[in-house]
Amino acid sequence: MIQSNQLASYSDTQDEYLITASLKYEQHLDYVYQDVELRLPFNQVTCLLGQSGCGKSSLLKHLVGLHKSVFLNELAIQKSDQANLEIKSFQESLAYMAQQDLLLPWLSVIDNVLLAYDLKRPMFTKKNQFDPTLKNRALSILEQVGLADKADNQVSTLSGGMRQRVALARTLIQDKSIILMDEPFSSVDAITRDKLQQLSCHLFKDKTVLLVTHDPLEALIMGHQVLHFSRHTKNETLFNRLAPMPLPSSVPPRNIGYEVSGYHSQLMQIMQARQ
Amino acid sequence: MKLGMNESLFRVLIVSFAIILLWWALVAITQVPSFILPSPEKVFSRLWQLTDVLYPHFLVTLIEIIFGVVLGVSAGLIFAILMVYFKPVRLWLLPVLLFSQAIPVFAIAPILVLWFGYGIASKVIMAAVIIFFPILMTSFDGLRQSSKDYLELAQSMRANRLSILFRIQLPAALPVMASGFRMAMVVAPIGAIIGEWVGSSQGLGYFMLYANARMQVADMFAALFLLCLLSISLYYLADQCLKKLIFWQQDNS
Repeated sequence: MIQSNQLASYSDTQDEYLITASLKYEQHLDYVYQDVELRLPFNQVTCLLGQSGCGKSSLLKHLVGLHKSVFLNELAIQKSDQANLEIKSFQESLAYMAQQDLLLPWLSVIDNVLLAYDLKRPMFTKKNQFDPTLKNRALSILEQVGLADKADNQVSTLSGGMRQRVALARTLIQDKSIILMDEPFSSVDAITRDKLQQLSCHLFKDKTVLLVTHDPLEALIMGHQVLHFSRHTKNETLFNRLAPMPLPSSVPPRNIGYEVSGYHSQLMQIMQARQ
Repeated sequence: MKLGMNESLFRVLIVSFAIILLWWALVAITQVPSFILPSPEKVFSRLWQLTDVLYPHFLVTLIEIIFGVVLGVSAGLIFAILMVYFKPVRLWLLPVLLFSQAIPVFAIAPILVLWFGYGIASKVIMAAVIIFFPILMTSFDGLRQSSKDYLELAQSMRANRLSILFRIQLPAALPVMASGFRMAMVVAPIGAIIGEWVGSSQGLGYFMLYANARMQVADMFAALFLLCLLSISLYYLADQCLKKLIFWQQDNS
């Protein structure tokens, strides 16, 4: 089959992160997931496809390092069959983009883009002392997302799609090699979503991306690799399955067309069957 | 916004004028003796005559209120931040604070005067105590409700706690906190006046008691009028400052 060949070629020729993770909350009996193995090939978009409540967002937040106070929290990261990578260095080289745009309403567009740098500014120092190169970079990234003319606007004047593009710019300017995204385009309308997906694929050319989504179409448009994340309980033990899904052989971003639609219905069938 | 402010100021003026008119009519129709209810023109003429006498009292009360507000707001804010950040503080302090609120502030006024003397200090503390709880609760709620998602975003950017507190949580909590501040501005004068009633030698509250003892009812009303003026102006000042501060939330109600 095509997809298995594709997978083989990824793991043979490419550097990748191999992530093993388990997570369990204190009040819960069950693991959220246990010994999940996830491969993130470098400079590619990996889509984690799953239904609501399957634990895919938890896994993403786990990788970001937001599950500090849970009962059991195991995470091991390997870089291409080499020795274990330190979690901290992995987490320091990632940028996170959430489902909501999370723009701060009291900051202008450009200040929102530069938030990561603003937060690192020492306490009790004056704002807007960003060095000009940083400001120029913010402007050029805003230009890439098509918002150069809105740099000094208040964020309340922007539409939903524009806000999401500012969030995209805020993620990109952090200049991290890994980008973790949690259903970032689920709150905008279909046309805007398609534009955003195409745009981010172009901007993520040299980034290692993990995109969590519940939308098979989004996974088909953006993913170099699509993994279906599901959980089953058999004989009172939990199984998490991270199964690769069939994909067109073309390179993302794929346009919505006959081929993608065919795969879309195929993916839907697989997901329904595994329910 | 400018127009809105002028409009609300205009409404306040209209309402005050109507009340004074009503008051004047009441006195004119019922012919109450002036030691029960003096007519407005008498009160205003006394106000005019007593300007020099009232001014220092007015100033003292104003200072008490301002210091009280500053003290109460800072204490409330600090405790709210501690409660948000440290779970033991939240668990142990909240019952204590609730208990302290069960004691009427009026009842502890004499004790405060006993402890902090007849001067300004006891009134400042009185005003601070009376506004502490509303400030604390609104700040605590505001900080706690500041969306978890913002915090997660900031954490993913590896920002430190202090930076998150000052650059994300506090500004995000401001709209909720603002209602506490507005309330504080209205309630703080009550604290100061009660303190002055219990024991003092200056301030509008003291002047009212003094006038009352001499049956100078018109003087009492003059002081009362000044007090109202003071409270309303402070409220509007605070309201305008808060609106400027929270410019991103424009509710034109």
